[in-house]
Amino acid sequence: MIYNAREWARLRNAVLAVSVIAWIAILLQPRVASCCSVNGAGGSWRMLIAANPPRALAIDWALMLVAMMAPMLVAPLYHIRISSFARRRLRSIALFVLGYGAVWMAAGVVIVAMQLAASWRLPQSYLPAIMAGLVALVWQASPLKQRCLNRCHSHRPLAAFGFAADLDVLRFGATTGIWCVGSCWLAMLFPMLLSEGHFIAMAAVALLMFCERLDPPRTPAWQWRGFGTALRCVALRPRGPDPLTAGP
Amino acid sequence: MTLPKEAELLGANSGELEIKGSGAHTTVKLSSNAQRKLSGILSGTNAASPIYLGLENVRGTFDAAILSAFINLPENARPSDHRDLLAESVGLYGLRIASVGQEGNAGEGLTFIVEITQILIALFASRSFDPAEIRVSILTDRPLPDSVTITIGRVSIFVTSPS
Repeated sequence: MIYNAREWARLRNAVLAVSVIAWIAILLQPRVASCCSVNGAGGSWRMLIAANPPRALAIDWALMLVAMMAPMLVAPLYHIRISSFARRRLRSIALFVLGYGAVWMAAGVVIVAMQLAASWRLPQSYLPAIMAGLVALVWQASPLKQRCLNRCHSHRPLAAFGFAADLDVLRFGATTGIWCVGSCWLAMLFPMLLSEGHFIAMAAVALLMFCERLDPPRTPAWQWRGFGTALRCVALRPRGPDPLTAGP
Repeated sequence: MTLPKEAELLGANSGELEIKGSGAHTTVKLSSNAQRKLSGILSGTNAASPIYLGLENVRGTFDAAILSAFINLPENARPSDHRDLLAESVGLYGLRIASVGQEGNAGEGLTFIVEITQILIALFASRSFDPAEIRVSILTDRPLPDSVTITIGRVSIFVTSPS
């Protein structure tokens, strides 16, 4: 479609600002800057649930999602923006976020349950994190991961009018969420299983996930992905697509 | 090269358009705001802004075809008699690879953007132009084989902001 560098930059900056606010909120949390950390680890299952009410866990998880996932949504949000009537843009973006967020919140039930189970059975142990980290590394290199990433790059055509337009962006959000969960769930689980260094691990995983999205779709195969771009990204200022070479 | 300006959607068709045989037709509907804006541009009331036709997410497995996009081509008219309504002819080179979701793409097909400002200005001047609905005809250079279907995800019309 018709990309405009200035419009892209404006949207990117707004999305990054939301992400930064979420990172700051995590840092300022009373629970020692550790979003989704578990209280009462090592006690009984009842104690664990009592010390970690579902509402608090859901808020922590949502905050973690906003901080880590928002930067990856610039491209689909831009696609919605340029594919929608000017008066519908905000509404369409809100519906996309609703669909995307609903999928991630549902996935969060499973991921947080795994975290709680690990804290209950192996309190203060690095073993669950090491195991999750190793599986995440294998997943990171697998062809299945590349399939999920390729699907995350897919931007479907959107209806312009009425209920069909609302349904289309909601479906687009849910579909993007599903492939995003498929791509990132293990990477999200890893920092949550760490008993220390939570925040730094979250930041490193967020950088890796952001950078692997900067890479173009590839033929699914066993290969490392994201790490090279992450190293280059640390040295370079993140930029939007070059409007002279950007594809549709 | 001049960078593209901010684009704004004026209208779109409803649903996917299937191209079979010698082509297909669809109607791009414009919102009421867009109709006012378009009429203003075409009549010279608003600042001159280029208007574009978008053929989004063209998908299929048959590369050896050329699609010609006509604006407000009358029904049953011979396209060769209305060359002034031809927006552009586009070759579908790379269509199969772009549609199957391998080799460096997400399988979303090809997208073409063509300028239609002059055609719309001429239609507007002829007073036979309804800004609420614009008929778009997508015709093939020769009939497609029976087993072949090419789809266009969305046909849309955009305007870019004046510089």
